[in-house]
Amino acid sequence: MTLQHDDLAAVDRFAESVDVALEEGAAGTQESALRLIATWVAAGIALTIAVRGSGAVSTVFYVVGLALLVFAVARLLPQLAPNGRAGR
Amino acid sequence: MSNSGEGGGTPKSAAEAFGLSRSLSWFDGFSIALGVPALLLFSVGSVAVLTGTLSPFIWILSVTIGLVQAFVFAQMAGTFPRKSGGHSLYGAETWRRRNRFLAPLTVWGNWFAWSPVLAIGGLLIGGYVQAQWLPSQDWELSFGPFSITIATVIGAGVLLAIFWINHFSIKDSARVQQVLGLISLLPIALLIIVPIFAGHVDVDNLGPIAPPSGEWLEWGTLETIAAGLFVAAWSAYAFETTICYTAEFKNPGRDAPRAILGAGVLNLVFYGLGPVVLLGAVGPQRIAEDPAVAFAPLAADTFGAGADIVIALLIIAFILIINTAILGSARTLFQASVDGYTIKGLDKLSKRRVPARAMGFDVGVNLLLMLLGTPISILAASTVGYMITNILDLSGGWLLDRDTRRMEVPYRAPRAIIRIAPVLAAFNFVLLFAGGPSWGWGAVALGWCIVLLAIPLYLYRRWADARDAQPAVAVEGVSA
Repeated sequence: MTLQHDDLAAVDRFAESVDVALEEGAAGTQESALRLIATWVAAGIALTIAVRGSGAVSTVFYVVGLALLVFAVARLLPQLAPNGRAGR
Repeated sequence: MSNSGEGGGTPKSAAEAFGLSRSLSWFDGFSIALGVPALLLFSVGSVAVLTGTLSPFIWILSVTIGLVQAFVFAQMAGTFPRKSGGHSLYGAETWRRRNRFLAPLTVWGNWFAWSPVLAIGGLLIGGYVQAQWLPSQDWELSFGPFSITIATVIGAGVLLAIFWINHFSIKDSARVQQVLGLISLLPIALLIIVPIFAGHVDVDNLGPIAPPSGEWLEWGTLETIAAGLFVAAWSAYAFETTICYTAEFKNPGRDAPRAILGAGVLNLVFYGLGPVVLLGAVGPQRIAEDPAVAFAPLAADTFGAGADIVIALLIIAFILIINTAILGSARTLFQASVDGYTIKGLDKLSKRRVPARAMGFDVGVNLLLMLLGTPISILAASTVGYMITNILDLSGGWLLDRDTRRMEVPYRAPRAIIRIAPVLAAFNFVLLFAGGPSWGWGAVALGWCIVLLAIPLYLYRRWADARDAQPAVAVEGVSA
């Protein structure tokens, strides 16, 4: 698809359809987005403690931080699936 | 398009304000990245000091990651043809419907990623002038956390001059970028290629290939590599600016990948060879003497009396990249203000259709930054913003792809790349938390404080907008 910028009406229609698609995609995902953000923040805190710490403390928090990160990424996966929660 | 942008009015978008309505070829998009190799000089010395012989691999890996990410951002750019100012604006469009604070955070993070090019570039110009022509000017005035050196004075002068010149008009067309980019490539190409053919690269300086501690399997090595990748990302990912024009390509499906691949290859050459030549020709000990101006001894060794000319060309390259950055970051601030993500007023254009307020704000912040620290500390603080915007926008790109999969969009990235976008977000997240602190907690804290400032500024904007929208019922009541 090639958008010609001299055809401003076509650009407007396209932008409008993107808006609608994003609104539909975001509907009902606010709560899960908050949980997802909380997981990322927890991973960040754990990694910060790991960097500050040393020895066993550092190792434990690195493992926890990286595990939380993997969990956070994995939480996104169902949303990507073709027939996931957004019904796509 | 209305004439709302005239005489200080408020256009709806940067695209509208700056008249971005061209049909571009892939080479026009590619040309935006011609100035990016100059960013290598901002931190190549510091990364070499920190990671030793691993530094060339760190730069190559960083450019490769940036190359993959650019495809995600290109798809986002094509999906928002009316937005202009960097991938954070596309990421913000995706996130604002899910969490209202993430949108201003990514936009502000992106601004703080690009804006400090002014402060760092200014300080580096001052540093190179001092190292090459004014070595006796080593005075320093300190007051609290601030300090002023001859490098600060020269750098501040350069910033104010660039601001003054841009106050007259903005010329950031693809054609101008091509010329400026080619000029800025010349001294870097000379500094990288001539030492190889002149036989100045000592292979012994490039080995053994091992972390500075000598141990691969320890957290300290992970932190060192993460720290190297953290700072390298600020320069090596930067050719993603190529994607800004995705929606304006004649054929986005064909031109976007060509532009990205072209820019990626160009940067792989410069970012791959640069650290090798620097390490091999200058050696780790001499780089460590002053990592900020690591190319000064390289120029002296390679060009002898001609080093003056090469350093002068290098300074011109810095001025050009500062000019590019001031236009880009002012545009980001402008669009952020238009979109309601930050304070009002930055969306005003001057009579010459220049976002002078946004530009002035930019210069003011950078003059303060110049007083605060060394170039590498400012760069580390800035990278906090860059990592936050990359993490959010890569995740946002993934979500955007999911939400618009049924639509026909101007450019769609390969499925495999979209699938690994959140993994790259997680990778950048590790760099942010495991690598960032190696550059000093003060720098990291400064970066977080400035980026998180986005939230109170956004809340203030929301409050101000709500206040301005109040109907004047009470006033009517009084008059009645």
